[in-house]
Amino acid sequence: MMARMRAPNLTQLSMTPTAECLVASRELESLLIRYAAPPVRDDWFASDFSGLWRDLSEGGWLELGNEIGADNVTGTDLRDLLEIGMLWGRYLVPLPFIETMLLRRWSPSISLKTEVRPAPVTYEIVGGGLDAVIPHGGRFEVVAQVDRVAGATILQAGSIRPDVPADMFAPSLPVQVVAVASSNDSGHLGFSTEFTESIALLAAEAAGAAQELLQRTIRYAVDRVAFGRPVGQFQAVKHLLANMHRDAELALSGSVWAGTGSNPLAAAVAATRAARRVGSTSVQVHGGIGFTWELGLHYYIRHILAIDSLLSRLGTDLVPGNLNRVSH
Amino acid sequence: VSHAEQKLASAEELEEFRAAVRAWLSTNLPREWGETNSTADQSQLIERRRLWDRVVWEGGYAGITWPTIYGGRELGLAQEFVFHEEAAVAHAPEPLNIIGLHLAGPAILDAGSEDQKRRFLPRILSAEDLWCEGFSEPGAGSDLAAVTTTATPVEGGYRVTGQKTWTSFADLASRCYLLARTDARAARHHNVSVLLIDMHQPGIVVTPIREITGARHFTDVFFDDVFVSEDDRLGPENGGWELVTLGGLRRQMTGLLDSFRRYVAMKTVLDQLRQCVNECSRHGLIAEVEVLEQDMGLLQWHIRRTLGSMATANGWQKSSSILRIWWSELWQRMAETGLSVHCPAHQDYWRLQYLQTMAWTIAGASAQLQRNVIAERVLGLPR
Repeated sequence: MMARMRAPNLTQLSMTPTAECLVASRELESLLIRYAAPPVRDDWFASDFSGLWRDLSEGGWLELGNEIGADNVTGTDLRDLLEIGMLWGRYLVPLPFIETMLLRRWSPSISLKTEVRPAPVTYEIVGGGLDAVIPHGGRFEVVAQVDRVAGATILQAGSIRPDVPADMFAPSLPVQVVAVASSNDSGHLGFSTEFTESIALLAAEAAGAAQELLQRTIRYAVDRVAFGRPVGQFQAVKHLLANMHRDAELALSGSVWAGTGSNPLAAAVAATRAARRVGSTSVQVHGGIGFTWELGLHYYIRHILAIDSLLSRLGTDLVPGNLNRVSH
Repeated sequence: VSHAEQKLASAEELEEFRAAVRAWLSTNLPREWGETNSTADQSQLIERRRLWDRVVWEGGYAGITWPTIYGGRELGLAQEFVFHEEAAVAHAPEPLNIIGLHLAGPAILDAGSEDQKRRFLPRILSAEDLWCEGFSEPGAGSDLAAVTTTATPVEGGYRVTGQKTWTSFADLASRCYLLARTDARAARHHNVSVLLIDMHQPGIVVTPIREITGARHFTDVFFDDVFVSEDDRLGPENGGWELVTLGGLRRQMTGLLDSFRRYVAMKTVLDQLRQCVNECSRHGLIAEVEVLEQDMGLLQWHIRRTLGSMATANGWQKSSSILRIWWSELWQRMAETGLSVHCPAHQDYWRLQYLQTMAWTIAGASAQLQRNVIAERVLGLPR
C-alpha cells in the first residue's frame, strides 16, 4: 500500500539515495564481503588489504564521487555519497577510501600515486595549541590540502605509527583520515563545500557503524538464551533495542542534515552523539561479552568515539580564523 | 494510504510555497500571541487555538494534502510540513481540532464512504465540527483492544453503551471517533468497529476530570443506549482494529502528522527556554540548551527524511516508528531544563510544562508500549 507513495523533496539535498547509488552500493558491498567480512578478530586491522585497494582503484571506485553525487554545486547527490559512507562505516575497512574519493571529487586531476598506501589527510587546526585528531586514534600531521583554485597538493607525510595503538582501547587503524580544509571566499572554513561534505561523510560513517552495531545486537538478542528464553524476549531488553533503533535512525538523519550545509557541524555532532548511544547500549545488551574484545564491538565503538571527538573538538575550537586558510 | 499519495514538488515549488506561507503568517498571526505565549492562561490558549483553526482554514492552509472537492489543497505532505516548519518559526499555536484533522479526517479519507467524506471532511477543515477521540476506558488504556464499550447491532445501526475516559475536549466536540465492541463473541482484535458518533444527542453525559496541571480538558464520557446509524460506521463491521492499531499504516500517518504539530509547539518552548537561560544569565545551562537545540534539529530532519522514505513501506515504517518516542521525551527534557533555570518570571510556565509533558509518554499508547511495538514489528524480536 505504501509503495504507491512517492517521496517529496524538501530541500536541494535528496532525502533518499538514487536507484543508481543503491546498485553501486550493493556492488561495493560484495567487493567488501569478498575481502573483508566486518571485523571480529583482534588482528583484523593488521590484515593485508592491498588486494581490496587494488580492486577499488582499478575498478574505478575511487572516482565514485565524480560519478554519483557529481553535482556538487547544489549538493543534490551528496545523499548518494552518504549512503556509501554508511556502508563504509558498517565494514570499517582500514583503507582511506572515503578520503581519497572526496579528494578526487574536489580535485579530479589529483595524482594519488603517492597515496596508494594509506596517507593522512586532515583538517589543519591552528591556534589554541591543538593537535589535529585522527578518528582512529593517534596523531598526525597535515599531508594534503585542497585549494579551490590551485587544486590539491600532496604534502610530506607526518610521522605516523599506524602499528602502535594510540591507547589500550582498541587498535588504531592505519588510516589517517579525513578531509581537506578549504576556505571559501569569506575565509570561513565552516562554510566551504569541502568542509560540509567531509563532516557529513564522517557522520555517515558513524551512522553506518551504529547501524551495524544495531544489527549485530539484534542477532545476539535473538540467539542468546538466558533464563530459558532468548534475551530479546524480555521487555527490558526490547526497550534497549528500540532505543538503539531510534538512535541509529537519528544518526542517519543527522548526517543528511549535515549534508545540506545548514549548520553542518551541529548536525554532525548530534548524529555522532546518537551513534555513541547506540554503542553504549550495544554493550549493555551483550552483557559481559560486550565488555570484551571478543565480538569486535570495540572497533565500531572506537570508530564512533573517534569521529565524535573529532567533530566535537572542531565544534569547540572551530571559530572563524581558528582554522588555517589553506589557500595561503 | 491513498490520501497520502504524494504529489511531487520541485525544490523551487516548495520554496515558493514556503515564501507564501511565511508572508501569510506575518500578516495573519496576531503579534500579541507570540508576546504572551508564556503568560497566557490555559483557557486563553484554548481560545486562541480555536480561533487559529478558523484563520488557517480561511487562509487556505487547512487540509493541504486533502482533495480539493472536500475543501483541501491537494498538495503533498512536503508542503504540509513546510507549513508547519514556518508555523514553528512564527510561534503559531497548535490546532484545536487535532482529532478531526489528524486522526478522523485521514481515516475517513482512506476508509470512508463517499457520503461520509462529503458530510464530514469539509466541516473538519472549516472548524465547524470539533472532534474528540473515544478510545481509552477505565479498563483499557494502552491495552486498547480491551475496550468494553458495546455497540449492539439494531435495525439501521447500533445502540452504544459504555464509558470512555481521559477524553480531551469531549465537552466542546460535536463528533467522536469512537472505538466500540460490535461483536460479543468474536476474538480480540476482530470484535471492534469505529463509529463516527454525534455528540449532541440524548444519552451522552460528559463530565470533566481535573488533570495534574489543574486544567479540566479531560473528560469522562458516558454513553447510555445511544443510537448511531450504520452510515456512521467507518469501514467494515468488526474492522475497527485495523483502523486504530499502532503498527498499522493509518496510525503511522496520524503519528507523522502529530509529530508535525508537536514540532511547532516544541519550537516555541525551546525558544522560550533559550530566552530564559539568556535573561537569567544561567551560563551553566547553555551547553544543555545547545544539545536540546541539536536534538530538535534531529527531529526536524528526521521528519524530512521520513517524508523522503515514504516510497518504500519498509523504510517508512523504520523511520516513522521512532518519531513519537523521540519528540515526547525530548520535550520532557526541555521541560526539565526549563525548571532548572529557576527563571523568576517564568516559574509557572515551566512548572506547567513539566507537568503537562508527563502526558506525552502516556497518551495514545505509553512509551513502553511504543518500544514493544518497535522491537517486535520493526526489529523482529520474539514476542
